Amino acid sequence: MPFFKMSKVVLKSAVNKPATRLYPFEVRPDIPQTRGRIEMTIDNCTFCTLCARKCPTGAIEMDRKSQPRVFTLDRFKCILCGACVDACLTKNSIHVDDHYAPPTDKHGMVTWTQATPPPKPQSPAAPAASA
Amino acid sequence: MMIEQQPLENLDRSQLVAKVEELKKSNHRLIQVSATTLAETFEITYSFEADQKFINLRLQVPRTDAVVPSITGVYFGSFTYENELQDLFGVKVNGLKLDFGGKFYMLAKKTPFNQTKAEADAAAKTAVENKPSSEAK
Amino acid sequence: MSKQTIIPFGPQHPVLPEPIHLDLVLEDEKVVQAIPSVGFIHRGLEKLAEKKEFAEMIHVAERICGICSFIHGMSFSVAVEGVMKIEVPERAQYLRVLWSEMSRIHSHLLWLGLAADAFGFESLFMHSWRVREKLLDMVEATTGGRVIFGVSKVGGVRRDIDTETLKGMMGEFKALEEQCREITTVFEKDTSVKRRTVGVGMLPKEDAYLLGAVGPMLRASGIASDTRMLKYAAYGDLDFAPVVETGCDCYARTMVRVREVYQSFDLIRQVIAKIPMGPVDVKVTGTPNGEYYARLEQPRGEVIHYVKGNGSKFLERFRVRTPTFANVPPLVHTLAGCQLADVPVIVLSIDPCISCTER
Repeated sequence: MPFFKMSKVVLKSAVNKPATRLYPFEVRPDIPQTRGRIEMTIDNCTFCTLCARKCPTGAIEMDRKSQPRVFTLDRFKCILCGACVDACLTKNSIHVDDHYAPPTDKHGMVTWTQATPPPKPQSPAAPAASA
Repeated sequence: MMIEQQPLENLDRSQLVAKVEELKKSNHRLIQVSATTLAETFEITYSFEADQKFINLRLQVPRTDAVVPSITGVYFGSFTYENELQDLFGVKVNGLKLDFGGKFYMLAKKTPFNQTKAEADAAAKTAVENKPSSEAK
Repeated sequence: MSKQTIIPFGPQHPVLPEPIHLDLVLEDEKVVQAIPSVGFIHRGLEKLAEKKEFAEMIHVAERICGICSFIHGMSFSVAVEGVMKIEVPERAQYLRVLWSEMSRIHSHLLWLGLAADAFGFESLFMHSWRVREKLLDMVEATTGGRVIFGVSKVGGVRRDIDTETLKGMMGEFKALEEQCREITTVFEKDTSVKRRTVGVGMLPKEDAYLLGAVGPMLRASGIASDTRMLKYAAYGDLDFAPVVETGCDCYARTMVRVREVYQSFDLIRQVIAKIPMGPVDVKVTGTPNGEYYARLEQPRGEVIHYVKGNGSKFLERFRVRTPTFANVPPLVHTLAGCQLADVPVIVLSIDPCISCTER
């Protein structure tokens, strides 16, 4: 009668080093292309608010009227779907970073304030068309 | 990509049990029973399959007189779907072999699916208008 | 007639991954009848289709369940593509099959661990999940998420995997398969596992068919029915047959799932060998108008996503019939006449995914 079929596996794990990682002494390396958190390069953003409209949970709030302009992300609502990244017109204001760090604010809000707005594109035919 | 042919047969509720018995004799198995709330009627669909051929039977039941006969006499496994029809839509099913009497799902709001989208939007709009302004937003 | 007592099983029980409530009517340790009661995780996700546009509903559809998340997202995409008659490119179909099979392996390994825990074999549980971790790392490297993959969309997939990564994955899958062999030999041959599962929870062939059982429950009773034979996605080009056992008991269901793990490894090898080059998505314009039933094979059985559109951005009806919902009547039938100590093993043998059942 086959008893103790597990003995081979159990002996192997008794002899080898533990399968678990000794965190915090050994930190898990970031896997590239994973979805960690949303990160902004705020100085390239034109505040067109397309990302806020496409966000399925409504996690993005953009304040265009205040000086300087402010971008707020509610990390507890963000599901890291990447719809904002796909919708961005400038294509280099917002991206998904592969390092996950837990939110530091009690309500999960992260804000970016735009110090210098991006230069307006030079277009010969357009009159003073504001952003 | 393969898009499956899915033939549909419209029936009256009096013909339902006879047709289902016919399908059981030709070795079909019950796949699901589902309902949609339309403006005037509930559209209840019974799906069956034999040898990878999928067929649907559809009933239109008026929302004011929502009663259907049960098929648990033919396929006992349909009691879960028919109890769900009773709890979520408010459709009364006659002759259920295992009847939970509306308590299969423990819901806070009774028959939540008994509203079309237009009715739900209208109800939400009047709720916002009737709330005092300090509470809105 | 001896006295009858009623014992509640669940909603919190060490063996259950998700809450379900069963009232067991007992006569001296033998279960006479079991009365199920659901509704602990009802989130009303089907009603949410009225508030979210159809392209955004994919995020809701993926989050119906954590274990079978990718195939729910894929079924929703297939259903909307069936309504709008969209042709998805070949490479996207193959990638979808690749991720579906990886999802199936991880779900079956999770189930094997839970089944071992149900009959008290804790070290086997830990080893099954240790093997599963390596697979989840591979999933994260290709899709970006461990549990919710987030790569499905209407019209294709959102990410591509380049050829070098695919070749690297072949080597890793081979190593994984050998680790799986060590674990599954125990499930197959060990006497203590057999004593807990052989002859327990018998579901004869006729009853399984008429009660509407799906998935491994049906295939363990001798009926060769697998929704993948409908040849959706790229399954038409792959070579496989349904895994059937004739035991009709819990041991047969365990064996079906074990053999499906190896079948999935074989399917993945075929996919990586045959995958064509090309685009991975197609642009979607317009709104759905019409209805379609998409039938796919989840690890637990046959899932149906029914989508009905009426020309607006919001779907008129989104209905999911999950495999565990269809397996509840067979569960109630098999529980009648079993011993009380066998109830956890039988409840787990249908692979209950209650958050799917109650959306």
